[in-house]
Amino acid sequence: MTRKSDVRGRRSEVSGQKSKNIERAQSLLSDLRPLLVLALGTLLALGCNGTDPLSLPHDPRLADAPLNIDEPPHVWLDLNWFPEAEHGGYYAALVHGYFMEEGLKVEIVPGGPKAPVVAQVSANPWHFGVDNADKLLLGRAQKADVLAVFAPIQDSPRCILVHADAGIDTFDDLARQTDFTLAINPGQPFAQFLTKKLSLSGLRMVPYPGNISQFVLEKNFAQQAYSFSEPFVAKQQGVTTKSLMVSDLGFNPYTSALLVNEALAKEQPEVVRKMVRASRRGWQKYLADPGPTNGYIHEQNPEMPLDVLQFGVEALKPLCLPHDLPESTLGQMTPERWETLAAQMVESGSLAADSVDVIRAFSLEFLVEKPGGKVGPP
Amino acid sequence: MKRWLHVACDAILPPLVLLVLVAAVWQWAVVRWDVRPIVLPGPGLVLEALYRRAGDLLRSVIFSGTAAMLGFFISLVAGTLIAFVFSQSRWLRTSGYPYALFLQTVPIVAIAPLIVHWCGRGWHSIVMTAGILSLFPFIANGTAGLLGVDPDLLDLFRIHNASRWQVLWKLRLPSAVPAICSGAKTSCGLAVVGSIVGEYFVGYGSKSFGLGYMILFAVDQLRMAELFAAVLASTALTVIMFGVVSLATTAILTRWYDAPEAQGDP
Amino acid sequence: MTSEPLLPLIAADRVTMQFASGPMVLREVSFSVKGGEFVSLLGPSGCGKSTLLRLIAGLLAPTSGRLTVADEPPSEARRERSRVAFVFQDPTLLPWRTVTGNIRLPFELKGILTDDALARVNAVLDLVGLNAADAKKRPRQLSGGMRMRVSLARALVTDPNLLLLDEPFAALDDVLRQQLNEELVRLWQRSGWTAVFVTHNVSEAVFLSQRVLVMTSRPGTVLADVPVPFAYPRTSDLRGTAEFARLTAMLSQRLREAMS
Repeated sequence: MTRKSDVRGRRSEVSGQKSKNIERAQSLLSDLRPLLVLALGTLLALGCNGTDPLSLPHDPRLADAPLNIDEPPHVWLDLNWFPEAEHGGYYAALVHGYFMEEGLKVEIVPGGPKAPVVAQVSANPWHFGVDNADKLLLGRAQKADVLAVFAPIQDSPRCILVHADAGIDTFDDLARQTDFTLAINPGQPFAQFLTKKLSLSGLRMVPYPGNISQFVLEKNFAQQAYSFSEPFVAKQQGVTTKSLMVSDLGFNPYTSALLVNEALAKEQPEVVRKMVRASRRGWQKYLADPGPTNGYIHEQNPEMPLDVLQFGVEALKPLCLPHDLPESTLGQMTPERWETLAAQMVESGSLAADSVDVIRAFSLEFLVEKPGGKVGPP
Repeated sequence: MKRWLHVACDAILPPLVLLVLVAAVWQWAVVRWDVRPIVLPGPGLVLEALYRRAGDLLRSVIFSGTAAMLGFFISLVAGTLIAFVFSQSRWLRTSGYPYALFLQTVPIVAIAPLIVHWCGRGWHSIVMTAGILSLFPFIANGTAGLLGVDPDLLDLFRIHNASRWQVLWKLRLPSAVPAICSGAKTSCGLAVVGSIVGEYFVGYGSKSFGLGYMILFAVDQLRMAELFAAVLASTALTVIMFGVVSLATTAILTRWYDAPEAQGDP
Repeated sequence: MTSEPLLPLIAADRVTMQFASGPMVLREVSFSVKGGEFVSLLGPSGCGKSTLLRLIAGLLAPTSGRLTVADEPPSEARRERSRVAFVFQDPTLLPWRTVTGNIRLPFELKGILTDDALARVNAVLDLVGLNAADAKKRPRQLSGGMRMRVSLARALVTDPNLLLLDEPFAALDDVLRQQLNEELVRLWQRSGWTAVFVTHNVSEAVFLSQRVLVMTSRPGTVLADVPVPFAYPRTSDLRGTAEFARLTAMLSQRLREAMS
């Protein structure tokens, strides 16, 4: 039989439980209150964000290095790999003092695997960069405010390296192979181009190891390479190779292009012009007389032997000046090349359609000596 | 039911609020300093990438997750066995321990070529890297647990003339379970790391791929938002694995051992 | 099931124990225990009585002197002739096993987990005052006193000849301790095992035993061998008697001597 006191007791138990719950909720809320206030405040502040930064007339970051006539502006040149022959011309400009003659204090910053050159140039206006055209387009799809102003290596050295005695002469031969390993970084635009163009499903795709040690040991092994570098290193280790040039299939991005931040190009065009000018002289010098520069590169990157660098320069010449074009044309670019590249990248899936306005990705104005002047044989 | 709700509120609400806060500050910073997506994508772009690549991300989480789990279980068994051996012989312990220590400190970069050489490339190699990376906590905790038995209990077994095997099986091993459980909580995170990073070196010989591949691919494509999305997915995987292992170990400990919720009054 | 217990004789002749790390713990300890006797070792903390107990159990070997159990070295005796059980100061239960699982451990270790053995487990549960519900609990769900009962049950389950107890009730409150003392004495009377009980509690020693060996502080040696003339069965009334008080006082005095 339930007595009144029982019921009362139970009720007070229940209400006791209820008030405990309320207490708990209250204490939880009071703990969270400061956080909630902060969150709401921040969201409000966001909503009230004022000016659209893209319309700022002046990039405040450029205020960091005021141009003083006596003080040469300090700029950085970020490389996309360890110092190698593909950067030779820029190093030549440094070694032979061409940058200094233009009044530029240039510091070359070596890169490495996955070096984020485009991002660095986007984030730091006083940084120039060296990277390939396809990388630039990928960056511009991510709203990188970077453009290419100078393209010393006209034809891409990108190749797939195979053993000479493997009997593979063309890409079709490669695609037909069985029990074969291809070391390639699948995210690279050229790799996506290859997978789209050829049917590589029969091959075993593995990560690019960054060196040729695996390649040397295995006959049924191919890997991505640069035509002026790995073949000679392999030769030194007793392996004769064959390079299947990706450019033969039509994919031919400008290589080792000079990249510059849009703000710097807009507000300090003279600096950019000087940089291009010195770089062109540097490349002309490097192709003619690479000795001292290669010595310097070897110091910066002791893993790169001098003879490989020498081989590199020789192999680079036809890539920099194809069809025996004169040296004064070094570095030039055409809109058609850029547009072709963009279309190929859209087709192979590296770029979303309409994600990049190609014309804005590069500028030819810094290639001429004076505004309105022409680039061409004298 | 109510208690569950309270626990959930306590555990989930504050981190959630913090997440919203961080995302708000992040978005504000990106807008304020005009940070381009190639440098740092805003939270909106990351969310969009998560949504767009959801299918691939889920598949790669399962790929890396199963490799991590298998590696974890292998290292649980192997680690406990090695701990057994270490606990039985002081000579073996002092001579073998430095090599076990090596397992803890060796960078994947160094052993990956060996793994590739012995086992080739593919999912099984990722399981190996996950296993190797997560092995040491089991060896260390297992050995400590097996050796750290109450001396009175050892005396008890001696008085009843227990054999070496009986002591090991009926006393040392059950005694070591709490230590192994705590080792498991450390190891599961390492197994995920091993499975993801292992893929950088020894993976994707097959058609399917995991989070390591997605991360590398996103970097090569300069798609930072997708990189963030893959990283978030990796974090989620680690959290899930840790959660599962935590739940399992708590269940074991509360059921069979002196768990924190010990009642004990007469 | 009562078996005729073998009658072990514990004989200690100038037993000395010195640990490798230094101090001499026992010096020339000599005494003997007849079969079926209940003897207490009374002494100050650190006097080596626990060590002595462990020597009798065969867990340690004396540095010099001779110690035999049933005319054999203790570890041999343990293996073959006499069944030895040890009750530790701490209940020393396996936390991952239930009460039943803990009590039947000795049978498991001997490999004789028969129906008889299981029946014996249930019987001994009864004996120490635990019920069926308790049997399924795990140690962490039991109070200190109940854990000690389980420890005792485990010691008694194999029907030992020699029971060695190392201050088993030291951690319990007085009332519980006295209660367990009474139960222990009752059990001893029924079963007839030999018991060596270590304690530093004078009244406990007097209540339980037929003889009290008073030990000096380290290095421990036997100071006195005091008979306790009270008859069995002993009940709680005994504690109130004048003789009890006198004997206790006298032993306390000797204990004080032992500590100096």
